[in-house]
Amino acid sequence: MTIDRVFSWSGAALVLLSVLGVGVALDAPWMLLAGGGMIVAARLVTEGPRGRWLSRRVSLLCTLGAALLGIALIAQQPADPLGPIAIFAVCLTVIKCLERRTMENEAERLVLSFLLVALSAMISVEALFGLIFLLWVPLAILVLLLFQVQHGRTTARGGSQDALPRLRPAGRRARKHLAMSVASNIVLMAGLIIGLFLVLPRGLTPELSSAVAAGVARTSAGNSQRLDLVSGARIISTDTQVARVELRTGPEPLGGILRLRTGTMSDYSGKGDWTPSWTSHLREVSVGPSWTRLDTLPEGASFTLEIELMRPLEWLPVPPGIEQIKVDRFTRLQWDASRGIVGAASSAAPLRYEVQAIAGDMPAASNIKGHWEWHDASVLLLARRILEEAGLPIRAPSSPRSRLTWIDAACDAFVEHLRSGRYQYTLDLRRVGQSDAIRYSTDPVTRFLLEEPVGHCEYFAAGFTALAQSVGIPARIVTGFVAFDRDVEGRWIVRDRDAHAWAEVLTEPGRWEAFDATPSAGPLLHGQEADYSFAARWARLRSAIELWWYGDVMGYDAAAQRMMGDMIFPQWRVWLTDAWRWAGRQRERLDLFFGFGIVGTVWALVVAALALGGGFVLLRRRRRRRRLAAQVGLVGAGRGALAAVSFYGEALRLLERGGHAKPEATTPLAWAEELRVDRPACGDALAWLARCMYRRRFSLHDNTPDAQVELHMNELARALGVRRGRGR
Amino acid sequence: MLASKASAVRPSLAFILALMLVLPPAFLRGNNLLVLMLVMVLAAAVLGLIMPGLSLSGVRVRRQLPRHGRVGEPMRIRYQVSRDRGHFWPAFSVGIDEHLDGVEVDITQSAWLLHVASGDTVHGDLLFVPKTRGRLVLDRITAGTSFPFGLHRAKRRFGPRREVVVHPRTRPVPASLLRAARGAGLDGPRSSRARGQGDEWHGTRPARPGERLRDIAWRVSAHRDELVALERTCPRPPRMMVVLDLTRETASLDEADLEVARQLEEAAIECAASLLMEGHQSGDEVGLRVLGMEAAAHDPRRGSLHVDRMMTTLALLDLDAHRASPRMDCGDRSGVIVVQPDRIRPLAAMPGALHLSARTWRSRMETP
Repeated sequence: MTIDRVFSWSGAALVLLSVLGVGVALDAPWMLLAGGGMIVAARLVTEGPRGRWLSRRVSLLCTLGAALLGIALIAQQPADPLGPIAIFAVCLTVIKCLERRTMENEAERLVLSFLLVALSAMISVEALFGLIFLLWVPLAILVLLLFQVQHGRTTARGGSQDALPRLRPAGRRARKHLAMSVASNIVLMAGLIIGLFLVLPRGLTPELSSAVAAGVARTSAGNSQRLDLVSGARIISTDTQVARVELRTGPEPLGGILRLRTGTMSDYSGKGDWTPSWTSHLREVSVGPSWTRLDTLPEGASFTLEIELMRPLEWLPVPPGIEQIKVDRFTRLQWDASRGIVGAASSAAPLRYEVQAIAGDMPAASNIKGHWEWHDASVLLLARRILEEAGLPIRAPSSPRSRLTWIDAACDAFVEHLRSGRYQYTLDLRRVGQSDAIRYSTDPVTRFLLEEPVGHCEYFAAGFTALAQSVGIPARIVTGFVAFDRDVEGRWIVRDRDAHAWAEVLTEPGRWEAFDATPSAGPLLHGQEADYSFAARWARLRSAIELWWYGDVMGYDAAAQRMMGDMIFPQWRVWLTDAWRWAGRQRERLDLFFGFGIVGTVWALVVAALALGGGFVLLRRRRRRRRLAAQVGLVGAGRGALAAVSFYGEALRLLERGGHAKPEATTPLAWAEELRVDRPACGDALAWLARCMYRRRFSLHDNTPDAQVELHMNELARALGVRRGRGR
Repeated sequence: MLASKASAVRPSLAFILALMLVLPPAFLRGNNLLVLMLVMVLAAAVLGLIMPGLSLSGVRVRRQLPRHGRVGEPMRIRYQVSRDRGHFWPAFSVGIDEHLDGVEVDITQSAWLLHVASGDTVHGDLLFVPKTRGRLVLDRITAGTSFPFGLHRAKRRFGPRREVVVHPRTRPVPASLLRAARGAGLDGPRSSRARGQGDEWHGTRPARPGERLRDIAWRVSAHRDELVALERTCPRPPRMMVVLDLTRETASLDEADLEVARQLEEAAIECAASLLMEGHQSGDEVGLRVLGMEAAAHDPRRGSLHVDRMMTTLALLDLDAHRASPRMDCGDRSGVIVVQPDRIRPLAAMPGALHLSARTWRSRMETP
């Protein structure tokens, strides 16, 4: 395949890829179909000697039309001009593709392709667009390289591409070199891009990575003390292991499903923000390798779990009803008895611990207080309707016994309602709540229950809790993990995707009962077998890629940069500080030694400057020696041999400064002859010096005294009108 | 020189525009994708600044010059580009520019090489058409490449300075003109003193096997009792002397416009060159006299080198130089053609000469 053909195809592919990027960024498949189709058609139409293309006038008219279209679109959406600009750029690219194939047009197409990708990057941070971008980069490098070759050839032919023969590297070696050059440039570019990306300063603006936050969020349900239902992000999770749990003693949990809690939230501050109860209290406890009692619970069947964390977590996953804990090293933990959760500082988090807990539901403290009311009337109406449909009274009975029965039945009714099929489970919330009618007006929980019944487990848990609280039932959201997958040794494998949220209801004094309103759309939550079909594997791979893209690439910010710096050079900050302090101490000692102001500092600076200057001079001399050795053919010779002809190097420098630099391919004697025509004195002196150099260089009989050499050097300098001494 | 004419593409400008486009949003929008684009531009800039210089290290360029050029005819200068061993990066898209001086030229193709690897020797050609006669000065060679990204063009200069003489343009001369010029000489066909295949008797020699019967000198053979063959002289071609009359200064020609007058003088030189070339190609002995200028006189002779010398004399005529009084010695056995720039002024010293004016010549050449 010839270079022309590769350039032509790769250039078209590059433009097509950038249009594809715009289509993905704007989520407009029609653009891909229309723009991409036009570009492919343009390539076919303009190709070859019988190709047809737009005249300059028609092209200008089309550009004007595209500009008017862009302006009209901007006028329609003045708040978001990037989309119309991208559409205008796509139109411009299509027009350029329909124009005649000249190097100028090829260059403009390259620039337009870059512009399209830049605009797309401003619009979208989608992983799919990221993939397109990662494909676009090496292709753009290839096209740039080939463009240079084409441009060089066309320029050499006077700028005309007509009747140029096909360009093909001559021979296998040239083809191999070209391929190697392309590959090495791509590799070098990739290395430089990665290096610069990692070290380029971040944190210049607090909005860094805000685009990422708007687009996607990592799974946080497993380890967070807040719920935020307004992010509008897509939850992504992976198969990454979070922990391994082994049942040491006691009965298996019901159905073999293990629920581990990391947080509870019962207070709703509006706008989708759930927080722990204000009455919750964290108490610090010291724990070690022996059992430490956290709470005293009523007698009952207990079990012991050994939990091995794969990565440090801020909140340790623990089962409900925890009574005792022991960890692999002495550390301090935080214990909240009312919520039954254990916290740890991430830096000192234990990675292996054992807990002993009471089997069954979560025990509740007797003096529990909370905020169990929901003030939205529409939610209350919905709850009452559900209760009426279930044949239950809309208010709690007054007698405690009836009240407990009513709470149980009401909660079941709420769960039934949420699992009825009217509500849809999804992890992708980017389009949820985006409708203009409900975007800014409605509360997310109310929106989920009444207007847009789409959400993930947090929405279902929040909806259940809201319904329960609206009729006065004490309920709270619990976050944590639900694990059922086991390894060959029977240990539960807790993965990132096992993160879940459910609800707990105080069904009777001293007992929190768990209610999971999330429908079975979350397939792994309800004891089903793991799906190993191709679609499921592909979905998991996609999730992993997205997690890498959003987390490690898009989410790489100043904090991540600092963390990486600490990881690679753990002590760099310490070393830097130590070095700075050491320099300060030395400076103070010198000042004290001299005993007069900052004389010591000045002295140190002068010595440093002299050392630097001396080093520079030595380096320069070495360079000159090497250059002279190459000029007189004495590479590898001793210093003595070079010193004998060093005057010749100076003579060459004098000639250079005098504006008569000796061309490389001209012998000194021939150059002296040429100089003689205009400057006889100069030519004579140079000829004498050249002969002397030859005699010394080839070890011929030479008894010329150095004084005579100096005399001729002075004569040459005088004839050239330059002064000796500088760089001598 | 050619590059600036040929292309309006400015990669460095495109890079700066790309940088300006991406730099502010990369930091202001907090979008790592834009940061990636920014670092891509920066990485391309870094490589684009370093790699061309690396590619050109160890490259040497030498010229292979033609003996001379001619106005209006394509001229080729070949460059031998070699690269020392031990350089890892092969050089791609190496353009070779030549700083040409002294003569107006129209460059049709500058030398360009796709690939120069370590230890290789490749050749590139510079093709151009000289537009004026004179001394073409090849001042310095510049080899350059902007591969891979075109941001920076690394250049290396090579010498030495060389000169090539560009001969005047020659055009086909009507055969009738040459015939007329031959007839203007004092004698017709002549014989030389050398042996040859002519008709005149030159001498005798012992006959060799295979000798033609008509070449045997029968009487002498009978007399000597051995076969003796006749030797004949070589026929001598007609002689033609071209006299270029430049005795009048440009300003004193019969032409008000100085530029047109200079064009007439150039046309006279072209006419003389054409006559010389046509005479040489017809087998005549041709010679040249330039009246009014310090130029070498060439007696009628044959041979390519002789013609080259005359063409060089014509090529190097400096029309701005002082015009001297003419010396009228052009031999008495030649057909003489006197070429004058503006109009015919018969020379008294050459009564039988054929006179031509450059004006007539030009109008004749312009007539299709």
